[in-house]
Amino acid sequence: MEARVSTVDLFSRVGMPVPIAIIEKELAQLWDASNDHKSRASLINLMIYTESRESLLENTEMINAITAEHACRVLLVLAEPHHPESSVRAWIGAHCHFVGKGDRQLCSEQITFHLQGQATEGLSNLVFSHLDSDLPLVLWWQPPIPQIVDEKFWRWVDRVLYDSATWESPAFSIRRIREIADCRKGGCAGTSRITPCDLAWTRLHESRFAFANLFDQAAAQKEIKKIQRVRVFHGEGYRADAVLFLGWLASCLGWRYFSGREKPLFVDAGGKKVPVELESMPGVAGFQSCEVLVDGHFFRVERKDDYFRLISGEPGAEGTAQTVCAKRESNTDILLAELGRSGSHPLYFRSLDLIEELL
Amino acid sequence: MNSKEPTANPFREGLSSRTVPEPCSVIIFGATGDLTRRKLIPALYNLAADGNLPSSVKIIGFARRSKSDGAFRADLEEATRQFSRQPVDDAVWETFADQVFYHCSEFDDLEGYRSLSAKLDAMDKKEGTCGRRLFYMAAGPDQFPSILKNLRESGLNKAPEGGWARVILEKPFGKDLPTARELNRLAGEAFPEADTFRIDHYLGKETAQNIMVLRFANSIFEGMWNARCIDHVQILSSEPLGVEGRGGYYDKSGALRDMVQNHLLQLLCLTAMEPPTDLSANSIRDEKVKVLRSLRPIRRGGSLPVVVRGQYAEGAVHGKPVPGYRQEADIPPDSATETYVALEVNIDNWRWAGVPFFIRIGKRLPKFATEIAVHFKAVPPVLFQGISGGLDHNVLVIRIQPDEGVSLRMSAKMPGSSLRIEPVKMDFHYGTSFGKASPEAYERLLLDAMSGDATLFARCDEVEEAWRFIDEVREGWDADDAGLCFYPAGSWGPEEADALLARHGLTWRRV
Repeated sequence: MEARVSTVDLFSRVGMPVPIAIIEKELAQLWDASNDHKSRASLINLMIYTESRESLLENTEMINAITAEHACRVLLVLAEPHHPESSVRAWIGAHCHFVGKGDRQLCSEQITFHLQGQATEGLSNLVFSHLDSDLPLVLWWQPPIPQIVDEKFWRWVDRVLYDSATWESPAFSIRRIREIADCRKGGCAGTSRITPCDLAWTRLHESRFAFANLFDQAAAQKEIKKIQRVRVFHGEGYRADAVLFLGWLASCLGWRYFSGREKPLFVDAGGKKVPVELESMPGVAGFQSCEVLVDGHFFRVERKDDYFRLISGEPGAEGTAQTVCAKRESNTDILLAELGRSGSHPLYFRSLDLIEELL
Repeated sequence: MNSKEPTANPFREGLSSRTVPEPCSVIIFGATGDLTRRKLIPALYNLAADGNLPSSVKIIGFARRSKSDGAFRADLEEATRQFSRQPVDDAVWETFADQVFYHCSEFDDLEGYRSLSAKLDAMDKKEGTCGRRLFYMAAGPDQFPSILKNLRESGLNKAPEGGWARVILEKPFGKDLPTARELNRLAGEAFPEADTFRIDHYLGKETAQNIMVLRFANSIFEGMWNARCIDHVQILSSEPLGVEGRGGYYDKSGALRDMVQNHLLQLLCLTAMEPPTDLSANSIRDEKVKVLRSLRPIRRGGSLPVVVRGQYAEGAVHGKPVPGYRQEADIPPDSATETYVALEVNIDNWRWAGVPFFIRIGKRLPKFATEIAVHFKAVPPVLFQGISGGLDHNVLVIRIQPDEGVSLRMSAKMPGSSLRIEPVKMDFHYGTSFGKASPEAYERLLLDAMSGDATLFARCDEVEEAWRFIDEVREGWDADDAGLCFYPAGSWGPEEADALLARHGLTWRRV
């Protein structure tokens, strides 16, 4: 049962209440009233859709951090489709950040909508009428993807962000995203304008990058075909992260998933079976380490606080180590990382194809 | 510009669009100098911390002072903590420092190179660097000939099988055309041109790289990037600093050699060149050389001066009095070295016929700024004559530093019942738009050299063509000492420079 937050407390902290019909006018007045040192800036429309009241303030805090690096117009939507009453309310606010050493500030606008009951069906109209024109629409859809979606609305989306690690059953929602974005097996068909981006995949970027470092040397590359066993460690409740990492590893190597087994098993490009172990570790979060074993040799990447240790050597021996920084993995960091890059994630879908059964 | 190349590491797919360098040894000549401490080691550390430096990269400092590996590492740690763009992480530093070594030798002692060779051979076998060696000339330019000769005589210039041997040369690449040719000859005797990387850190800056993207990835600009639409171009590099303890070096060099020959002519080339056939290093450099060859020589005794050289006199910068150039330490009291240059450059080719490029560079100017301002032609004076406010030309400004970005000035009607036109500015800032800090130029350039990508480095013919142009300017000056103008420190330069533009009916852009 969700803990109820006082409505007054909650919404008073996201901005100034305004009538829906005059949001743009009120925003214009907000800028008229501000001093000359503040400039409105926007490079994207960032819409965050949530169905959880508890996440409203967390999202607003995150938006404040995001707008320091990515000027945007933010539409934060709290929808409660199952609420017995139908209502729509809105609040406006701005996030201003100093630029350089002077007193100049760049500001991003935030419009917060609270939709309840039947009014949630008017979401698309509400969004369409408050987008900054000509700018791409990046949507972060936080709850699981429903079976039925408003296609008109989704056609406007340029980039959909989601975090499959926060969903209890990610397989269904990911499948829906792929259908909406026209991403069938093997990637996206390219007919849709939507680029899907799983923040769980982005969160693994640093780990994948660190692991790849282990194989930059020609001597290590020769060992790749001889991999005999893979072990991936993850925090309790973070199995999906480990599975996604495993999917990535397998897709890079051209492995196939050997289904129907109690324990995960892959078949490498030469037909050799490669057993895989996914192991949970208490008291830690997310992906922790990956070790591959070849003939009398191991390659391991392990996360230690704020850095990764890259180790290779013979089992039982200390091995040679390298240390690289690991960037933080808060939602804000991950969202910043995703907004900071462009393009699609074809490898993500190839990886998903391999591990769909394991999710 | 980097084209994506296949990598043998299958895990690299999709992680980075740049080529990942192979493990190698980086040998720094002049390892105890300022460049190593302030730029090179912090850059290498940042690459390591970000996971961009291949594992097993060994860094060997080569210098004259006697020092242990431990003492060398301790010195570098202190410098890195001071100059790194990101805080130093103890754990990362520890594994990074394990890869750093010191080799003590005189630059002219062949034995020192032979023992270095033995050390590198041993590392190749033990650490998997496989004979891949990058020699970085961070010593004074007077040491280059000796180092290059000894590298050759010790055989270090020849890569063992499966490896490579590359050299990075720091500017100045000579002090005139004959010395540049001599340096190129010496470098060429030791290393093939493809393995010679002449570093100009301006080219490693994000905005310098963005000039080509702006011009060739946007259809709205290329069609207008010519004499039909562009009136003139101003390229500026200004700084409030004086010689800052480099008086001895600077007085022999001067602004023309120190900045115009390399940085500013490179910016001019990127602004004026034709589209390359592809993004390979040689295609881009071919186009830049064509621009340099098209520069109209600045001959002595022309009817009107097209060059102004200045020297700062005492004045005030940021509210504080500062001495004149001739009162600075290590500067002769009668020095005629220029601290300011303004040049009108004409490019005699189809695209740029009749479009002057004005270059302005100076020390002790009011602001720190490097930028390219493209001034477009005025619209026909048909509709808006006599309108209050007048019509300003469109100006596209590419800011190289600081606050990297692009802005476009255009005219807009002021709100109101009367027709009044005012200039407005559309502004794009790298920092606020992309939200991530640009890596230091040296990080990018070191990584490129390790990967063998010479796109952002100067080729020998580029350097020689630039010197050919600069030497003609110098020859005119040397014959005419009276041509030196003085300007108060903290001003925008001598009045004569204003006159250079005034005869075209123009003024310098207000920065």
